[in-house]
Amino acid sequence: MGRKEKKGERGNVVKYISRAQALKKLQISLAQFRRLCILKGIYPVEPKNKRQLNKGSTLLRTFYYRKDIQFLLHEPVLRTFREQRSHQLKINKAIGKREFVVARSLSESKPVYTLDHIIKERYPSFVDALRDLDDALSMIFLFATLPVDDKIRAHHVRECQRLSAEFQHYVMSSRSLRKVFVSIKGIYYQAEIRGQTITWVTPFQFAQLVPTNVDFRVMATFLEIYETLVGFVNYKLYSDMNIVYPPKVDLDRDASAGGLTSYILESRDRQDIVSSIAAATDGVVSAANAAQIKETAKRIKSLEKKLNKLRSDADEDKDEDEDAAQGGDMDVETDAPVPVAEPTTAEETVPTLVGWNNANEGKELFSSCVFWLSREVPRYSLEFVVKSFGGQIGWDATSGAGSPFDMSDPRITHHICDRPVEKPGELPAGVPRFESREYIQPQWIYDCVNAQRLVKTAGYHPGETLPPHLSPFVTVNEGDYVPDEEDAEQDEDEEMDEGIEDTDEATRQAELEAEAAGVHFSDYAKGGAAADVKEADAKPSAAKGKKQQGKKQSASSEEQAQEAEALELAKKMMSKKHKKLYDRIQSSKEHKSSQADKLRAKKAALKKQAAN
Amino acid sequence: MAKSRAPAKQTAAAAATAAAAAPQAPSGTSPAIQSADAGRVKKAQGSRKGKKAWRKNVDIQDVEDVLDELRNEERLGGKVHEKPSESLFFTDVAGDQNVRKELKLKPLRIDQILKPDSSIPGVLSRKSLKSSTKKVDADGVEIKKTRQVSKTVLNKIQDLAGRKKKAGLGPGSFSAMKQAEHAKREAAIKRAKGGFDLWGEDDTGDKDAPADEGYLETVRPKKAKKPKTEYAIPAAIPAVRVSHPGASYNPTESDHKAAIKVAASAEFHKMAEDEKIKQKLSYPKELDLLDDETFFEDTDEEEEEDADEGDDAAAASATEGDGSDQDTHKQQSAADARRKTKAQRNREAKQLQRQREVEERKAEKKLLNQIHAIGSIKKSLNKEVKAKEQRLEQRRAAAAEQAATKPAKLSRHAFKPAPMEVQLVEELADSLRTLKPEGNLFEDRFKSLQERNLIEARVPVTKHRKAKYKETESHDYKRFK
Repeated sequence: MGRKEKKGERGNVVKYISRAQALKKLQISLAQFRRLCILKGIYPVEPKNKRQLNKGSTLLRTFYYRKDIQFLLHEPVLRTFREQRSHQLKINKAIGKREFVVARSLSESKPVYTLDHIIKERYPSFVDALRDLDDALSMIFLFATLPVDDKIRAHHVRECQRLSAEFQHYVMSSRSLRKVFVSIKGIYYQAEIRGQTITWVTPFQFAQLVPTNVDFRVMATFLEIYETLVGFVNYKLYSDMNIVYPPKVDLDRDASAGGLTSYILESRDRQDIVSSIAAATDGVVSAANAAQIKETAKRIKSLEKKLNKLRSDADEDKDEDEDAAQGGDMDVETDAPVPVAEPTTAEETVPTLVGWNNANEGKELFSSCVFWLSREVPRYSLEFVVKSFGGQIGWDATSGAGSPFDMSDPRITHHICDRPVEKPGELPAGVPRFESREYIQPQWIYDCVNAQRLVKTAGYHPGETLPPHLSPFVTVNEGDYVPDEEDAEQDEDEEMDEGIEDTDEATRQAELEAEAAGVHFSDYAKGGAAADVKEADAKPSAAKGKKQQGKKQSASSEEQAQEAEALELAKKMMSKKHKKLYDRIQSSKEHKSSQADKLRAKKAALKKQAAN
Repeated sequence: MAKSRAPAKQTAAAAATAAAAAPQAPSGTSPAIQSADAGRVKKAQGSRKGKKAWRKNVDIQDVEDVLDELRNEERLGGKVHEKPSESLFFTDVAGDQNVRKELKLKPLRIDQILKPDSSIPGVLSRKSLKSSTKKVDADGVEIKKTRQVSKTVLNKIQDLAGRKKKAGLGPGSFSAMKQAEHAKREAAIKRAKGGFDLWGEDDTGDKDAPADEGYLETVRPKKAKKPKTEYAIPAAIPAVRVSHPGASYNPTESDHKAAIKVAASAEFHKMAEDEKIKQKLSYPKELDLLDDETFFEDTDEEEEEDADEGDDAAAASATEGDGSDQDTHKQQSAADARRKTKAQRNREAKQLQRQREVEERKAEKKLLNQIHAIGSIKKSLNKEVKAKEQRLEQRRAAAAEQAATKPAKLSRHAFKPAPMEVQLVEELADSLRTLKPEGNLFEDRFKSLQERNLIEARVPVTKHRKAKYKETESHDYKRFK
């Protein structure tokens, strides 16, 4: 017979520990315990059999895993908490004795703790940290807009403003913003960084009332760990882009509400970039002699050419197999390097070809646009969004300093204003008319971003009733009705047609603009030629795509037949119950699609009417 | 105005005049003697019968007193009443300062009230700001302290002004060292808040290696490992829950309607719950419809019936109890009358035997049948087990769904979700400028933490006074004179 088991040696009693027991074990106050748990990422749990643990009491208590609490005992922060307490007692004693000088010097040497080891422990890899960034960013962006009072400290707000601006700068310069949604609650943004989608919400400015039913100590503790996390994430992101972190702050501009423009991003010195690229491509660490620098510079030039080639190849490939390309994984035919999900070595953290490719590939939606913001328009959001898609933007002096140009600049293509108009078709009062500009409402920018193309400005002019602002976070199922989908296709066709006529005019104007900006004509011509080549490349690739589609169809018809057969067999094998359920699902789908068809037909009819 | 400075002398003079007047008025009607009399206790008058009694009972105490005083005055330098007035009195030209004060500044009543009872001064709790000693220079002039700030602050200021450096106290001085220490501390804190590449450096616990060298492998302190505990963080609840598409600032009509429907259904659900509770607690109206007779009659009848039954049972038991002896006798006699013969017994035994055999055969047949039908039995059993498993699976799936979508109960209080943000048609803005934000992000973040089981739901605790304040009227003002 085995050893007799004693009470309290196995099972739930050992697995869980109540909060009061934990406090007794750790010898700290409740407030400190709460902070420690939040910092360490230790959360309360709901035991399966609560009655067993509660010793007959029916009151629900808070439980933790005993192992977690045991682990907390090793925490350096816990020691600092205890030191802080004894230090505070010393200060109190000095104040009680009216020895203020002593108290002051004591308070200056208060023991402090750092959280970097906790961040490393909770997020062993950088991707782990990115995955948990949603909450952290939302909190940081929220606190950056809060008013300072006795509960929300000024240094927290300042820190949050800095961190949020730094992160926005990264998103802007890496072109990683994907979606924007303006809701009545706040503005939702979604960015894609290292293959991770990061969603965060920012409040509207001056709108946040601080509620009374929120525990500030809890929020402040979460903020503490998130500040540290975002700080390290920013450092990593910046240093991977070869930008100096932390960026310098132009204090004068910051004082005059410069916002994002008061941060000065500087790349690390040139030599550093060159050597790192050489190391990444050849695995050879270049010494800092002139000959080798020249050589690497040459290599960079050739790399650019290669990249262009790769890009055009990639465009072709896209049509061939979209599904494969979706994951961003490697294509076998091309020599394109494999995108790396999580760089773990120093080699991988330097900007590799993939990074360059991604950055250039894409989201230069507003690159041909120059915006001007009227003062009634939310600059804090629009500046971020426009710059994230390569646009240029200027604003009224009343909404902050640092505008790169003024309102009468001839380069401006879009004037964004949001004031009521007296008569439809007219500009609002106080907005001067320039012939070369489109006058639009701010929603146009958000809608362009979500549609991933420049949508028509009709309907967005001042005074017009805006089309609805759709949430880009809704997943559209197959066969669902999307109001703008046909418009998008048509737009593209029209652009192709109009492109030929418009290019001459456009190029002439662009040249003039370039001259105004101080670019030499010869330099400009080179750039323009490159752009033309790009367009030319794009067309044949589309044609190729169509051919390949035809091949695909013949292959797929057989597959389809097989699939249909399999489906029928499966249906026959179904039980009555399942069959009914299946039928119901199918009928609802059919109903939906028929509804969508109806809507499409209606739209077509309306269009016909309008045309007539 | 002349006034005596010494009141003692004055009385002496008055006594002298009284003595001078004494021979003229021996009966003692002078005011001085009267006043002297007034102080004394009156004796009871003695007998006045005969000369002997007269002599015996005459009270000459006051005369003797005066004479004694005169003698005393003579001893001290001459009789007072014989002296000239100038030697006894003088004219007070300066006057009494206190008098003036008394006349002018009559103390206020409140000051009188507030005057401390004790003449002993209270103990000072804080150090007196003025020191009791004074620093004096060679000429005897007091040296006044000009420093108003603490020494550390002064040092800092001087460092800033560059004075200490000039005096040779710059680098290496106490304050310089302190400043350097402070700067180092600040730098370390800043570094730990995003000042280096946390994921880039290759640290595999080598930091502590040199300190551990002295230990044997077996006793070397090991770094605590993080336990692999799993938290039931609802998987379906994202950290940032994106608003309903109908909560767009400029939604489509269908989305907006859907959003309102969601918000309304939540509200209706809440109302229904409230109603349920109210109904349970309220007085049911059906009770009013019952008239009293039906309400009470039934119970009466039941009670009566119960009573009847009880009586019957009691009676029956009584009769049984009484007649038990007789019955046994009767049964015995009846049994005797029906005694079976041996043949009968044998027949019955045979019958029984046959019956048993038949039953055995049946059982055997059944068993055989079952053996043949073992397949179908197995099937049915399997079916049962399968159904059980399926039920279990369903229950598990439901529990998993619950865990994925609903916050756990981690404390006494249940999680209360914030109401969904939605605007009515008339509240919707026609442009971004006129948008009125709805909901509170601060609350949203806090609720999100609770919803994801990161913190337990709590109710803010406000401190209440347990005892109520009691109002009374103070009568202190009556106690002062």
